[in-house]
Amino acid sequence: MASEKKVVFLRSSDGEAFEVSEEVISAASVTIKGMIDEESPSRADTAATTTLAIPNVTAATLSRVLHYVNKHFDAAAVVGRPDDYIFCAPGDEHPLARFDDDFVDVDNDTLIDLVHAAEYLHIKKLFDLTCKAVADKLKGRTIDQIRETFGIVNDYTVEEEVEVYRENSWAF
Amino acid sequence: METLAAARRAKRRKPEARKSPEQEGGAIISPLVPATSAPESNPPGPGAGGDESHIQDPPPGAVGGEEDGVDRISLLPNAILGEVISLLPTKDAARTQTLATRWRHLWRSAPLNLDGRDVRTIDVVSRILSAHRGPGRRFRFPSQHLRYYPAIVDAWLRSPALDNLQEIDCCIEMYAPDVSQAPPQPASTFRFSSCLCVATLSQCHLSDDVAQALQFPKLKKLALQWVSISEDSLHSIIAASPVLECLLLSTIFGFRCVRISSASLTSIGVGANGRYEPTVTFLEEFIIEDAPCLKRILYHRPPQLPMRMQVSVISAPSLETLGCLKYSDYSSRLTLGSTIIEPCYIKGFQVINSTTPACTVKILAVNIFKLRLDVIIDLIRCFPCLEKLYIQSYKEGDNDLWHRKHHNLIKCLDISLKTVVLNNYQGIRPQVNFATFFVLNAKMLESMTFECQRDSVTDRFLAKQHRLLQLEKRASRCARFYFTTESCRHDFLHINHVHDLSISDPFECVEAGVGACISFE
Repeated sequence: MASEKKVVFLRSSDGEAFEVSEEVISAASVTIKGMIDEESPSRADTAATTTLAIPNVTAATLSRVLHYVNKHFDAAAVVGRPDDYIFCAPGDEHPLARFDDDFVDVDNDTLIDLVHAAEYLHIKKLFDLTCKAVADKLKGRTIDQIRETFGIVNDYTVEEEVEVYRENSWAF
Repeated sequence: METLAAARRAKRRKPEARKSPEQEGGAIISPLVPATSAPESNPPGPGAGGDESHIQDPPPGAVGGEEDGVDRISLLPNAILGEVISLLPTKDAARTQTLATRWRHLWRSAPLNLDGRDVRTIDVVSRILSAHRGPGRRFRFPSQHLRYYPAIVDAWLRSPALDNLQEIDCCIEMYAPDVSQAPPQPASTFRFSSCLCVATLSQCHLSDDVAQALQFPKLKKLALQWVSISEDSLHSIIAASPVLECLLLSTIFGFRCVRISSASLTSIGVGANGRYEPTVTFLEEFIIEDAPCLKRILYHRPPQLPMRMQVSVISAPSLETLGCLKYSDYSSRLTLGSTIIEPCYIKGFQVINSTTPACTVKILAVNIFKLRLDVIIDLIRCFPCLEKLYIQSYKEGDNDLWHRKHHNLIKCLDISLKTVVLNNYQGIRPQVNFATFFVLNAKMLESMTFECQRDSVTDRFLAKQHRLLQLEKRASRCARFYFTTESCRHDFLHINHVHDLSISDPFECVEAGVGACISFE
């Protein structure tokens, strides 16, 4: 039994269950590792697999997250080398750079769902990746372009707007 | 033959085309501020702008609300938006305040990423630093300020806005007239030594008493450029940085030779002075004594100037990438075990005693004045497992009749090259002869790129090259041949910043332009 790989099931907010290796998801997600550690005394000697409810993440997002997690954390070499630094230049060395680029090449809503999920599940690498992808959508754009891209409504009064522009005139 | 007018290779960064939003089960996650706090929790700073201390994350449904353009981004918690804002260039980050009231105070409480080059005036830098609460994420400023405004720089570095700074980048914007009078690096720089992950220090003097007392437990990338330092202090800094991966030493003065041993280093960038300074001793000799993880040795050279530098590798069993070796670096020398490569006047490079080839090296870039096959073959013999070869040249060689001259040599040469990039290709006979060698002999070849001049790649040109290069007789059946029209603008000088050292193939031109590809089914 010990040699077999343990799996856990994660149930999304809309009720779909996903199977994932316990070792992999524990390495990836601080939140889920915490849940598993809490559960473990009660299931130490039972063969039953654990199902964890992930109430804040939909099936669509969860399946994307697990795709990422399996790519990034399913190799012994990768595990245990947390990279806590986020100012990576484009083209930085890591073999999954292209996978990552494609992974975040999604529409805004999907991306924001991923940011939320990464934050909730506490997956640092995914959180950094998705925040950077959001930042790339803001970078070099005019204020009007950003408002249009994300549907941000300008709720400043004229006076307030003049004031905030004046304060930041050096940035324009 | 299939000719594609297509992008040369899959672009790493795609254009920001917005796709039609795919509905994922129609469910929209309600905004949640998890009980577990976000990676950065900002302690409320004293003083600075008392009005923003009460900003709270938005209640669900407070913002947006239009049918098809729901403003989901503004619903993200402050901590997350702060992370996003801290990734933006300084001006872009500041401008987000004008988006809507929700964004009004976010920038000032987000981790600060301040680029003093983006913000032109010193006053604005001071103002930003006094208005922010921190923590500091990245701070960049031009090194000449150390010389001309030392007190202001010191005050900047003491700002609470920079507390817990992760990256300091004192960059070179203009070169000082007199290198021997380098100003001291303010001691306030080193209040960050325990949190810095990346540090670039330029055009300054690091005194022994400061440098030898430091510990850099998190430092991964360090660049010293035009820095005056003693040998002992440099050793002390390297020893005090247990996780240091990338080290760029470019124009160091104070001593002549350094021996480097490090268990953590993966990349070393070396550069030396191109100018003649009779009164100053420059670091010209790098001996890599023991670097088990070292993958890359890269040359960081001043534009247009030759360097005088000796690099000796005693033990670097993981070394994969090397370059760019330049023909005009006279009196330079690269020693890898028993192999010695020296730039020389007539041939370009002289290889001496290549009895123990460097089998680990996979990527090599060379800059040679005259394209000569015999010289390139000599180099390839030093690196029998070479997979990628970048050749930059200025003049075609003499009619390189390799098949007569090197016939016997080639028979015993097993070429493992997968990628060859030839810069400045005009398709004239000596170049064709040179390139044909690889077409007919490189059995593992996957791609060969010819960087041509603008407008030269026409259908007629391609058809002619197809014939002249004998592509039908290629040794590798799956090889593709690319003719690009925009040669690499970086001139193989991609190593500009310590961040460049961590790129696995720094010679690859990611921005390469469009061109044509000849491939075969």
